[in-house]
Formats: sequence, C-alpha cells, structure tokens
Amino acid sequence: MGELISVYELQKYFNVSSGTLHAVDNVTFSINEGETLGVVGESGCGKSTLGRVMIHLLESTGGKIYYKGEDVTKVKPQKLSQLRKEMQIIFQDPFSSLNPRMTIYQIIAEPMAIQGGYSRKQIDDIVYNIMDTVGLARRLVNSYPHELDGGRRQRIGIARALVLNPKFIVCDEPVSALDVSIQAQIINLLLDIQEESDLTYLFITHDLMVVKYISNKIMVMYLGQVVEMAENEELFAHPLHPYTQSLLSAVAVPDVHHTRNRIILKGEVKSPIDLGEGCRFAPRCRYATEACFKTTPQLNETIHGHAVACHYPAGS
Amino acid sequence: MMGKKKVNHEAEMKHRSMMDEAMRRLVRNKTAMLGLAILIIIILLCSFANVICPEGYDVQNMSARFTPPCKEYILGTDALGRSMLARILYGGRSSLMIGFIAEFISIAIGTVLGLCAAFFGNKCDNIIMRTLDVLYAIPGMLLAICIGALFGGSVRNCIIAVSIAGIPGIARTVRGPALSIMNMEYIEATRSIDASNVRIMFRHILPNISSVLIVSFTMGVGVCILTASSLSFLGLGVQPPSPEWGAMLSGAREYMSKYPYLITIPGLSIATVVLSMNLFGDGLRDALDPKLKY
Amino acid sequence: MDNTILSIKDLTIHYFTSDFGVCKAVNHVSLDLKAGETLGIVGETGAGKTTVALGILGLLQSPPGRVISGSIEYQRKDLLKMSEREMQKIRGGQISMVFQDPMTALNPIDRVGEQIAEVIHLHQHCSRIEAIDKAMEMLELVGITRDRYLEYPHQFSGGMKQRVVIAMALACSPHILLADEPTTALDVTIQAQVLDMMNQMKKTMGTSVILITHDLGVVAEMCDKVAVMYAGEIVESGTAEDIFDRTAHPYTMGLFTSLPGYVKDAKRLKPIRGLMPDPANLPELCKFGPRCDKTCERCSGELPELVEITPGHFARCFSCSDEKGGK
Repeated sequence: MGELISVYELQKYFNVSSGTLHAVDNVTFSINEGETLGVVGESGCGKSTLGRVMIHLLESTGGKIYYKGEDVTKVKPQKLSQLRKEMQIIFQDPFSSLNPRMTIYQIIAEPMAIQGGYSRKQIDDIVYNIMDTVGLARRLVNSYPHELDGGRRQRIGIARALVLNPKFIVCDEPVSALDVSIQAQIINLLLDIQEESDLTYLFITHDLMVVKYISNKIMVMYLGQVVEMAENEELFAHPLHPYTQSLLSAVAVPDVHHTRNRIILKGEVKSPIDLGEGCRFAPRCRYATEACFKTTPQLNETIHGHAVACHYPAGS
Repeated sequence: MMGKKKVNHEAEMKHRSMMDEAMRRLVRNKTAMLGLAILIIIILLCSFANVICPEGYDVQNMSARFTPPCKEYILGTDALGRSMLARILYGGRSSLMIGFIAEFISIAIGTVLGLCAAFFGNKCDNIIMRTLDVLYAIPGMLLAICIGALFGGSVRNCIIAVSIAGIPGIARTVRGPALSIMNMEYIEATRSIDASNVRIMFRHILPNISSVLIVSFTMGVGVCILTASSLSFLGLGVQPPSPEWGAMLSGAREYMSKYPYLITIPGLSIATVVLSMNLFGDGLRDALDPKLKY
Repeated sequence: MDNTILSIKDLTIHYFTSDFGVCKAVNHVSLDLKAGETLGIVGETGAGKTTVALGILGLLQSPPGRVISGSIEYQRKDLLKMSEREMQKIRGGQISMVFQDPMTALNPIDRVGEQIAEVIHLHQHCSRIEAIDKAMEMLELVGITRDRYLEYPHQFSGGMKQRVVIAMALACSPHILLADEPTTALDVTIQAQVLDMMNQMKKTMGTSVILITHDLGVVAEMCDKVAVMYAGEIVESGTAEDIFDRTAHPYTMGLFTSLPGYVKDAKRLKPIRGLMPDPANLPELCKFGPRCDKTCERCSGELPELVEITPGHFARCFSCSDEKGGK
C-alpha cells in the first residue's frame, strides 16, 4: 500500500493579541493507504488544528500537503470540491456537531444534495445503506438529533462522513465524549468500516489506550511539534522522548496490582505563543540541560521507523 | 432544499422536532393563549369590518354627532357623526396591516444584514454594524417622523418609515446568536461537505436563530403599530378620511374633556392589540426556551 | 469497632417531570463509608451517581427531584431530615463536594484566595486574618504558590482551577469529600498530578472520600471500596480487589471488556450491546437483563437481589453461567 497523504513542514500560525500562536509548527509525516496514524498529545499540542489544516478546513500558513502524490497545499475552489469528496472529518462532540433543526435523513443526504446529480431514489438508497452500515435503525430516519443519545448521534456523524465515499478521514477525538460501553461500539464500527472500504485514518485522541488499540503508527505532539513517532508496539515498548515516557506513565491503569512508576511532570503546559528557539518541553523535563533551552531538537530517526526530537533520547 | 422525508418503514417513531415540543409548551401557557385569542378575535373583527359595518367608515350623520356609546351606535359617533365602531374596525385594518407589514420588512432586511455581518465578519461586519449604529442612534420615532416629513404622509411612506426604524435592532438581535452558532461544530461540518456560503447562512444558521426572530417579530409588531399610530397622530401617516387609530386619537384631542370616549376607545384598541401581542410574544419566548437554543 | 462515618440506607430518589414522566434515578441504594476510606461509585451516564451525591448534600433540585424513601445517617443524624439551615452548616464544613467542571465551579469575578477564605470564614469561627492565612496554607498544600492568592480564576489553567476547587473543598478539613468526576475534564498528565495530590491530602488529613467516576483506571488507583451502579441501582460492591479480580456482575465485566487493551490481542472490542434503559421506563425485573449475554430462565421470572458472594462482596445477579467473571 503506497502513501496516500503526507505533510512536509506543515505550519499553522494564528495571530492573537499577545503574539503569534504556533499551533502547528513544522510537522512532517506520511500515512499509507488503509492505515491509521494515531496522534496523541494534550491540550494545546495542536493535534486538532493539524487535522483541520490537512483537510482544508483551515488554511495552512506554511509547508506542504501532498495527496496521492499531488501538491494540494493551495488549491482552487474546483479542485477543493473534488478533494472534499475524498477527505472527511468526524467530530468529537456528538451534541454540537449535528444541526439540531435537521432530521437524520437531511443530515446524511445533505452532502449529496450539495454535490448534485443524484436522483431522489439514489439518495434514499444511499441514506438507508449508510444507516445500515453505521448501525442506525431505519425507523430513526426522521428523528432529530436531540431525540437520540450520544452514541447514536456519533453514528450519524460517521454516516455523514461516509456518504461521498471518502478515502481519508480525520477522526477528531470521536469517542472521547462517549460512555465506555458506547466507546467500544463506535471503535468497533470505525475498524469495521475501515476494513470494508480500505479507509485511511488520522486518529486524534488524548486516550492512550484507545490510540494503542486502533493505530498502526503513533505520533506524539507537544506544543505544536512532533516529539516522537513510531510504530504502535515500538512506541509503547520503548518510548524515547521524556514527554512520551511521562505520558505513558501517567495513564491510570485499570488494574489494582499495577505498580505505578509515575513520572510526575513539574509545571504546566505553556501556551504556544511566540516560542523561540530551544526545546519546548525543556522547562518541564527532568533531563533538561542548557543545550536543551538553546537549540530546538530536530526529529531524527533512530531505529527504522522510530523518530524522536530530543537531544538526549532515552538510552543515549 | 431537502424537504422532510416521509417514510413508511417498520414501526415509525413519532418524531418531535424542537418546534413541535415548543408548540406543546406554548399551548399550555394560559396567558399566552389568552393573548393569542384576543389577537385573533381582533383580527377577525377587523377583517370582517365590511360585514359588520357594511355602510363603511365615512358615512357622516351630522344630526348624530358626539353620540356616546348606546344601543344604536355601539361605540358611539365622532365629531362628524361617523360610527366609531366602523372607524375602529376599518382603522384596525390599517393599523394591523401597517404593523405586520412593516415588521416583516424589518425582519427580512435586518436578518440578512445581521447574518452577513456575523458570517463574513471583519470589514463587512464593521461596515454593516457601524452604518446601522448610526441609524440606531436616532430614536426610531424621530427617524420615522423625519422620513414621513420628507416624503409626505401616506400609508406607503408610513410603512417604509416604520420598517427602516426597526432594521438596526433586528440586525443586532440576529448577529449575536448567529455568531455563537458559527462556533458550533456543525457549521464546520457543512464546510467540510463543501456547502456554499448562502446555504450555510440560510439553511443552517437561520433555522437555528428562528426562535429569536419569532419572538422579535411578535414584540416588534406591537412597536410598529404604536409607531404607525404616532405617525398618524402627527398627521404623517395615514391621511384622512381613512381611519387609523392614531389619527383618531389625534382628531379627538380637542374634545377630550367633553367626550372622553372619543379618546379612550381608540386608545384602548391600540393598547389591547399591543398588550395581547406582548403576552403572546412572552409566552413564545418562554416556550422557545434556552433549552432549545444551543 | 464500627468506624462507619456515613451510612446510606435504601435511598430512592425520583424526578417527576411533566415532559418525560417519572425518572427513577436512584432506587434502593445502600452504601457505607468508613473513616479514612475511599469509596468509588462507578457507572456510566445516567446511572444515578451524581443524584446520590446531590442527595447526600441536600442539593437536589426539588421539584422535580424528590427523595421517596431511605435515610442517610451521619453522626447519628439523618441528613435527609435536616433543615436547610442545619445542612448549610454541614456543607463545606463537614461534608464538601468537588464537581466535574472546574470552569464553572469558581466564581469568575472573585479572587481565588478569597473564595477559599470565604469557606473557612463561614464554617470556622475565626477572624478574617486567620481565614486568609489558612487559605494561603491550603493553596500551598495543593501545589499553588501563596502569591497567587490574589489572582482570578481565568488566570489559572484547567488543572490549577481544579486544585483550587479541591483546596476549597478541603479547607475546613471536612470529614467527607464527595468528588464527582474530579479529573475527567483534565489532561492525562494533569490528572496524574491531581490524583497524586488528592492521595497525599487524604493521608495527611484523614478525609474519607466518595469518588464518583466512570474511569476504571482512576478507581484502581484511588479506591479502597467500589460500588458499581447501573440504572439507579447498585449491581456490585466490594473491595477494589473484589471488583477487579473477582468480577461478579456481567455489567461490570462488560465495562472491563469494553476497554481497549484490556483483553490482549483482541481483534475487536467486546462492548455491551444496546443502551442503558430510560429511567422513566425501567425493565420490571433485572435492569441489565435486556443487555446481558449470560441470562438464564431465572432472570425472566425473578427480580435479583444483592447477594453476598464472599464476605463484603455483593452482586445483584443470579450468576447463571457456570464460570464466574474475573480476569
């Protein structure tokens, strides 16, 4: 399976009153067709912004985006319509991601109505098929979102994303707002449809257990930058970046016999405004030296496929 | 635009849109229903003015001038012996018509302006809102008077004046909720499915601020009727001999102490309509509660 | 020696709504909290956990909520029978609560230190100076420097705000702390910090804690005893070890198997099918029955009661299948 989508030194900066907010700062990675890249990080790391920039919901400030080998960083409206069919997004909040005034039918049918060229019968067929695929009972077709629970609403969101047969879907914390048992149902659904339609996912989440379960490769972000990237098992087995290590150690494990070797980070996450040179994690890092504050570490590949941005990755 | 799809499929759930639930709540509100009932009665009476008073509003009977309400003339007669009942009913047509039409125009234009200001933001927002601010700074009544004085009194100009006076308020009322809806993820979602700007504004944002608009409309009609009446009172609105409640008030000024019914009857009519619209509007606002406004 | 500090017996709370009928939020719940212990109440949205907490503190919105039956014994008095005045003395001073959302728990126009000092001043008969002093101490105890006393909530991050809220809750050294999903809204590393801090404070102050959460990881880390709630009832209770190692109720088991990574190398997760029942429309017999894979004939004829499986470990299940749950 070849590369489907990749970004090169992608940047997204916002101008805020106190300076420039470096939401996404020189991020480079690629995702192969049919695979899932998990993106983890905490508030302010830029993962949500990254997803939106990739599908042109936000305009990038710098860098490049390649889709199927083509440079799609800046596209004309016509090409953008084309792309929009193939790149979709599933949102986090099942409550605010659906228009409360539209029925399920209308929500799922809308992408087709906008595209045009579908007959009434075709639209009906597709709506019902998709409802079947995502596990929504057909009798709910005229319901309104507020009549349904979070899990069903999230399924509607997924259905909407699938209507135009996309190839790439940004999943922005799609299960974070759901109860545990519903989470599991939705995760299964996402895996099922990925297998069926050979979809490629950018899976954004803060939940390490979920990302471990669903991803092929995982990328850890901190304050807009990628600090570590590796295959799933490799990252959990050998986390090299101090941030990744503390992140993994911080997870509350549902096991009473688990011995906790918590690496408690001191301090707080800064806001990514006007950050200069130097490692952004240095202020909180227990291994930080002067060099760390002076020069920004680059993302270097250590073993095949495992990259880390640190002057002193574990083991060196 | 996709209509609601009716499906006969398996066990059909009874679906209640938020509007349906709001209507249920509204119907349970007794004061609101009272207001609505009074309003409907008045509208019906005025609509059938030609049935109730087939002789019209302009039949003068000098021998019967200044007759207080009695069996023959239910509401009495005015200075020219014309039936007050007829003048009230026909006059009601003018007042109500001007009120509803003017408010409708205000809403239509104000909504488009408010939506555009919220949607396009930045320069567009500034231009629209600052221009409207200038208009807003002039008291509505004064504005209406200026326009009436400039272009002369007539029903048409009255409607124009009153509607222009109402536009800034509506635009402002619309802009706020529209801005907060723009932050909702479902608006982002519509962009991701390539919806056009017009579609987003009118298919997604507008329906979600409809509750605000509905309430503004009902309250606004009352204001428009009052403004129109004031214009007519000043001679800048509906011209004699066409009856209009405000004009009737004006004409009765000189007879106020001797024949108070000439003032109270049109005055009460205005008050009743405005009050019932307010009661209904209040009920509507309660029914279309914050629960519904995401 | 019985060191039970709070005893809830047969608590039933219903919400009487005009739109949706009667919501049976909490049904015949009995819980005991011992001194110095952390009791976890686990359940998903709609299980009734927050209602129980509000019931303890007399903060139920009534109407539409109403306590139908039961008693909550604290210091040999029934909290449910106390007047509002008496409850006010207890709230904040002897039993305090930390809510889920730190953003809305603090008054945005009051300085943070002042909000803590207010609680102290209200409940402990001390001068303002003493209250301010104590407030600064509390700030330090939760890991915030004294000089931030005069700052406003918006100047703090989410994690810090939650610490302030915890400082407020613990300022008067209450006997009992009710924490309703205190770390759900926080980042993983911040959650670790806050949980760590709570554990420390628990040790130094000897507070008993009722921790409401849906996160089994947090439960494993913080709780001595656990009660699992489903559709307003307790379906399983016992020590943390009982619940994790010797899971007895299919719902609890389902919660575990729903967790990604719990079952090694699972190709798909095993979620619990279906949805929690509508509290206005609960099943007649076992509330979990419609979603359970381990039902048998007995389940369709009888209502299961809480049964003691091993000393201290209770489950509301007929345990139909041969093998009991467990890892």
